[in-house]
Amino acid sequence: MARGIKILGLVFPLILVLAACGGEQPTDPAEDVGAAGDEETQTGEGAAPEGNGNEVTVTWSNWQFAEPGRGERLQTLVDEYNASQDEVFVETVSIPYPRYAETITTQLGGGGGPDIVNFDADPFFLAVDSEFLVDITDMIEVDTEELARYDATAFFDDRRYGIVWEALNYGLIMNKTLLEEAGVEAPTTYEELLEAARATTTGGQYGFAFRHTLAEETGWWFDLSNWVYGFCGSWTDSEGNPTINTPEVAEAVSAYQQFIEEGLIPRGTDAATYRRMAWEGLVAMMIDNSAVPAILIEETPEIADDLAYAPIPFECPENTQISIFTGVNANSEHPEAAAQFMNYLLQEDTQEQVMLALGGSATAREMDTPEELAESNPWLPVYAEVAPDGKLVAPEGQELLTAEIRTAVLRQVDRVINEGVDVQEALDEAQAEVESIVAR
Amino acid sequence: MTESAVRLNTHGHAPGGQGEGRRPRKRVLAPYLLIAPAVVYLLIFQAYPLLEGGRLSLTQTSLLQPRSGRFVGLANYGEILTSPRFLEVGLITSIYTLASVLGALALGMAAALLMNRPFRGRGFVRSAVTIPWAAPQVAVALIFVWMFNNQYGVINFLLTSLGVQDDYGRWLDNPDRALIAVLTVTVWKIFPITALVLLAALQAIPDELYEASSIDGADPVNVFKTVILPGIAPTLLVITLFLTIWSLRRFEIIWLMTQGGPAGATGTLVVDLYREAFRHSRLGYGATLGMVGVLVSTLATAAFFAVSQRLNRKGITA
Amino acid sequence: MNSLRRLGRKGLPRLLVIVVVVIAVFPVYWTVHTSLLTTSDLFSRSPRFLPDLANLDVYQRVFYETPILMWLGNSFFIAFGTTFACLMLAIFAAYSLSRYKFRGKGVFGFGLFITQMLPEALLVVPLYALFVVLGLLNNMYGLVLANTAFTMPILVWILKSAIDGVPIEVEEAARVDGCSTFGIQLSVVWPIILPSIAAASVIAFFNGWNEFLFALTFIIDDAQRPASVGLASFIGELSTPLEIVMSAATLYTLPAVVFFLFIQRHVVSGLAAGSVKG
Repeated sequence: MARGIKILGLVFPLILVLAACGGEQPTDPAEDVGAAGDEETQTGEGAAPEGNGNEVTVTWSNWQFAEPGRGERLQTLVDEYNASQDEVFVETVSIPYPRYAETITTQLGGGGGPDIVNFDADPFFLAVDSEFLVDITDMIEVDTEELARYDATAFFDDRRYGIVWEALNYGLIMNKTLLEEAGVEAPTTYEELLEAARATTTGGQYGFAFRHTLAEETGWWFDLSNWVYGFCGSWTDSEGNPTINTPEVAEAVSAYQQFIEEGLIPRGTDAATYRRMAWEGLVAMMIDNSAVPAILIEETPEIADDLAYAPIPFECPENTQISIFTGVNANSEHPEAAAQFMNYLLQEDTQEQVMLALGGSATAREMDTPEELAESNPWLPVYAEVAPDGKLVAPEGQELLTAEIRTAVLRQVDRVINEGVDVQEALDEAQAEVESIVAR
Repeated sequence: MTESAVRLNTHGHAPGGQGEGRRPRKRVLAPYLLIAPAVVYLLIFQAYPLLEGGRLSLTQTSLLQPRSGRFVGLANYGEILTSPRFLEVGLITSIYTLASVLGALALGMAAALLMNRPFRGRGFVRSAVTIPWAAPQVAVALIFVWMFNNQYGVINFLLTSLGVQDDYGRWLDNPDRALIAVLTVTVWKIFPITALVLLAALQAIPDELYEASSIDGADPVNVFKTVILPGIAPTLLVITLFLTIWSLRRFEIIWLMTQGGPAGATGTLVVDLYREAFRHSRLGYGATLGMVGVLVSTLATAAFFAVSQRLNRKGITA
Repeated sequence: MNSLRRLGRKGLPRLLVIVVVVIAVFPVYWTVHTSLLTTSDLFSRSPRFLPDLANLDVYQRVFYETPILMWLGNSFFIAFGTTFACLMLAIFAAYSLSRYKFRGKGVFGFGLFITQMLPEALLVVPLYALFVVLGLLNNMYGLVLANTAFTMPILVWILKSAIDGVPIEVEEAARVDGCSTFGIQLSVVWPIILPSIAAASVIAFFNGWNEFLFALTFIIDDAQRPASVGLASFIGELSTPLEIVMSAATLYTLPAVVFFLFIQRHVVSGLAAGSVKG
């Protein structure tokens, strides 16, 4: 018992100390860590290591900061900016990719969030619609003429609510060594693609790979959209009416399903894993985005010689374009400082740096790929070629309902894949559901 | 955790001079002062958000504008009841809850009985068995997703090597097996706490009772029925109740593994709540799903209390 | 016959113990194992079961190239904070519930129960709005407060049951000696229920150590992140470095296990205290 008292005697003051801390929380920790509460974050002088007292700290969120390779290169870019001037200090915030959109949306809606925010297209549109982004039309100094054509997607009623951070397009990535071993040529039509996938699928090796599970809902939607667009279908017509059960979409889904049914893809395996399989030479072909080749080569430099690139061999040239936007949070106390950094991002030199950091993606400026870069990154010209045919996955006219439409469609495609439901029947059902979502 | 265990016991063969209400104090202020911090705390951090959730459930509100929703009365509740997913989600939630509770009880009871007998290395075994409880859920989901991988997963390898299945099967993307996989992980994660609580109850059974029954020549099954089960019945009830309401609200493990797929096979109520509120930004509708979940839990709790009172009357006063 | 029975009585339980231990430990072992695999081993159809120690340098990479130590430090702070805050609130409430009869006691007990039914996802949005007002966003104290709200009620039950088991005569003796109510708790009751306090601490600690959703939503400063969110941030848009994830997962799991090892002796007896009745 005496020992027990001794232990308690030690523990109890600690409890009291903590309780005391607990009472003063709103103000105390702010001084300790220099960044408490979103609103206060921007004033957090302590956070800037070389702060001169006048420096304003702004936070910038992006899921890419945590990724090996890309993350470090982006951090270098930010460090250089921070060192180049002493007015604004940019602090990077990485939020896990699978939960990014919902986390940011919760924070914005709750009155907080980082000052500068990177978004996928549909949460960006949602944020604009809910007036959670600052109108930066007059703060951006770069002439719109200098920027790429898709810069227009950041405007609403002639006001600018963001800049394009990255635009990713989709192309066909092939392991030509595996194709040669199987005795097939690079495919130029869907039929040839199917044939090539069949020929290259042998024990432990897969002809193709794409996303096909609800566990990767967003990525699945990107991938499936490529098929729908490539088969000349779309999710909505230009007036925003759902066109999900059209013959084109049905043909696309059947073609997509064919690859699953025949076992030409590693079923159930997520993108991170099958891309890893690809750099080990276990996957012959993928329809994947412009940032992927750099990742494959970074992990296995030798694979560079095996890889070849081509536009997606489907009938129509339209392909998925992932647009990532950068906007300024309306909750921010330092929109000017945020815009100052965004102006820096738009400089020509910085743009080239951004492009390289991202592995060759298109960025806000229309830039010709430098020749020596095109040589060492042979996929760049191919992706540049397909970029003009890029099409957002947000259904035209129903952008704000992207997530709901996505879930409704994918749930039905899931039934096609896993329960053997007829394609047309499933798409009819999806069409009806989407119509009721749109009507609501 | 053993609140009603205590109540049952004190009602039964109440030991002299202890337990609640034996000696009511004169000073009525003291008990309130003592619970005041906890009460204030829970009012702020649980009651207020819950009420806010209840309010949201009566509105059409976007996640991006949580404070400017439109009042729609019971429309969201109506939408849930008429939704084609209602039955499906209800069914999956029930199966998931029932199976994870039964699984945790079975494995937990087995582990508790095994750890109750003295043997060398018992401390080590107890610690080892607790590992799943200590393992962080994010880490757990990641390793199990890899272990259940269709092509390279060790679970497929083991099951095939042992002859349980002929060839590698599909798990997390297979509507017939995904729920089994998710349940496996769930049971693995929660059986240790079940085992520890039951073990604690087992150790409280006086040795004399075992001795008496062994003199009577009872076999192990009989001992279990006549000595062990009555001894731990109150604890068993309470832990069952906790496992049930915890299972009804469990989210991370399922979301990290399947997000409710494939073909809705693992889509429980809370998974739908998260998807509606956070993916589709339909905060009001999501809150409604949450309130339905709370309601179901409350009903389950009421049922358990009814059962425990009946057992109490029958079992102990007899 | 006799030896068969002895085998049944001794051998079978022993075998079953081994089975249970293997079930419990294997996935964690597999985490360590996977962290030490090369990519080509990863995609082998006949997995090796022994870890390849030649790849131990992945841990060096995790230590140097990721903020894992900072994350673990933050998790530790949050877990300990949660434990202390929970105990602080629960122990008095438990004493009150155990020793007094008062109006509203039933309501309080029921309220405690309700807290265990609430899905975090239902509360996260209202809590976020509340934390904005209170200035608790983006700091670990805020997470401690949120975690405590969900965990403290469990602790109240455990400690209440434990105090029920302390004979009231012990307190009365102390009262005769002139101790105040608080003094009695401090010097008489708490030492007796120390094992239960240990058990309660473990539960609170694990809850704080594990929590993910609040940490994800309430923290935007990388320097304040706990390991649960840090670990998830390795799951990238384009690739997920499995060996890094698994070694970080190992480093994240181990401290919780070690903490339990230190305290496990008390946990069972602590949980038992509530149901010990003559």
